[in-house]
Amino acid sequence: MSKVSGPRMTLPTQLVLRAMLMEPTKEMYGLQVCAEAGLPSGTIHPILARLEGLGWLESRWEDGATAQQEGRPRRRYYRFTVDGAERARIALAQATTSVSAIAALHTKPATGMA
Amino acid sequence: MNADQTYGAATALQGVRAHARELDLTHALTRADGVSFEIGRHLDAARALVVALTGARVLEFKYARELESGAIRALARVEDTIHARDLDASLEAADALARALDAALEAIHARILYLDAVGARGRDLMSYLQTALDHALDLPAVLARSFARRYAEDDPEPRTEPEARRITRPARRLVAAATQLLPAANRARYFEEYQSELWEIANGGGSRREQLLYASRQLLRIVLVRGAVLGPLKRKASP
Repeated sequence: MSKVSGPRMTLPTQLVLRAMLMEPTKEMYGLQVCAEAGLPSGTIHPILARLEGLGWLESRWEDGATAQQEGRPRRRYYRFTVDGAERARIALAQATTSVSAIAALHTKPATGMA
Repeated sequence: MNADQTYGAATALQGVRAHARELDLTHALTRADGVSFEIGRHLDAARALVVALTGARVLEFKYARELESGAIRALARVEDTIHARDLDASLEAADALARALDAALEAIHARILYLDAVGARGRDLMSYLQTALDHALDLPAVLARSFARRYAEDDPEPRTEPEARRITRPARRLVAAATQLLPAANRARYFEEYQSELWEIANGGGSRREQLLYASRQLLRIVLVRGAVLGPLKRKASP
C-alpha cells in the first residue's frame, strides 16, 4: 500500500486530525482544537501551519463585525479543504502508533486550557 | 549504529528534559546569580546530547561539533544579556539559538527519514529518535521560562482591574518576540492569532501564569511554525 504524501504522523498530529474529523466541515479556532484534541493550549500551531501548508486545512479570519459584537478579538478559524479530510482519514489509517508511545504522551503534564 | 547507542541519545535528551522540568519547579532563574548555574547545567545536558548523537552517527561529527559550539555561543550570549537585562539583545540571542536548533532538527529529521526507509529495524530506531526529537524541542523552554519570569519581575501589573480579563504585558511581549522569528509576511497574522487566543485564555479565567505558559509555548515552538510556513515556499522553489 502506498503512503499518502503528508505530514509526519506524530501523536499530537494524529490527535488534532482525529478531533477535526469528528465534524469535518466544522470550523474551529486554535484553542478549540486544543481542547477537542486534549492537548495543552499553545501546542498545536506548528501542526496547523504544517497541515495548512500541505493543503489539508484552510483558514480564514472571523468576520470582524461578529467579533466586535461579542466584544472580543476576531478568531482565526481552520477547517479541512475539499480533499483534506479524505487525505487525513487515509493517513490516520496508515499511521502505526504504538501503545507505549501513546502512554508516553499521556504522562506529559497536562496544563493549560481545560 | 545500534539501538543501544540511539537509546543513549534519547536518554541524554531525557536528561535535558528533566532539567527543564526541575527548573519549572524552582525560582532559581529569577535570581541573576542563579541564571549562570542553571543554564550551565542545561548546557552540560545539551553537550551530552551532542556527544550521544555523534556516537550514534545520527549527525556527522563535524556538524555535531559546529552545533555544539553554536549552541554554546548562543547560550552564553543569552546568559550575558539576561544578566544585563537587555531585552532586545536577549531576543536576538534567542533568535540565534532558535536558528541553531532549527538547523539541527532538520538534519536529524532527514536522518530519521533515511532510517525509516530501511525497514522494521529502521522504524524501531526511528521511534527512539522520535522520542529524542520531541525532547529536544524542550531545550528552548528554559530560555522562554527565564524570559517569562524575568519579565514578570520587571513588569508588576497594576491590580486595578480583574486580572482574568486582560492580557498580561509579559505574555504579550513573549508572543510578540515569538512572531519576530517568523518570516515578515507571516508575523502580523500570527501575532493577531496569538493575541486573540491569549484574550480567550484571559477571558476564560486564565491566570497570569497560564498566559505566560501559553506564550512560552509559542516561543519555544516558533521555529516549527516558521519551518511549516516556509515549507510550501521551498516546495514551490524546487524543480
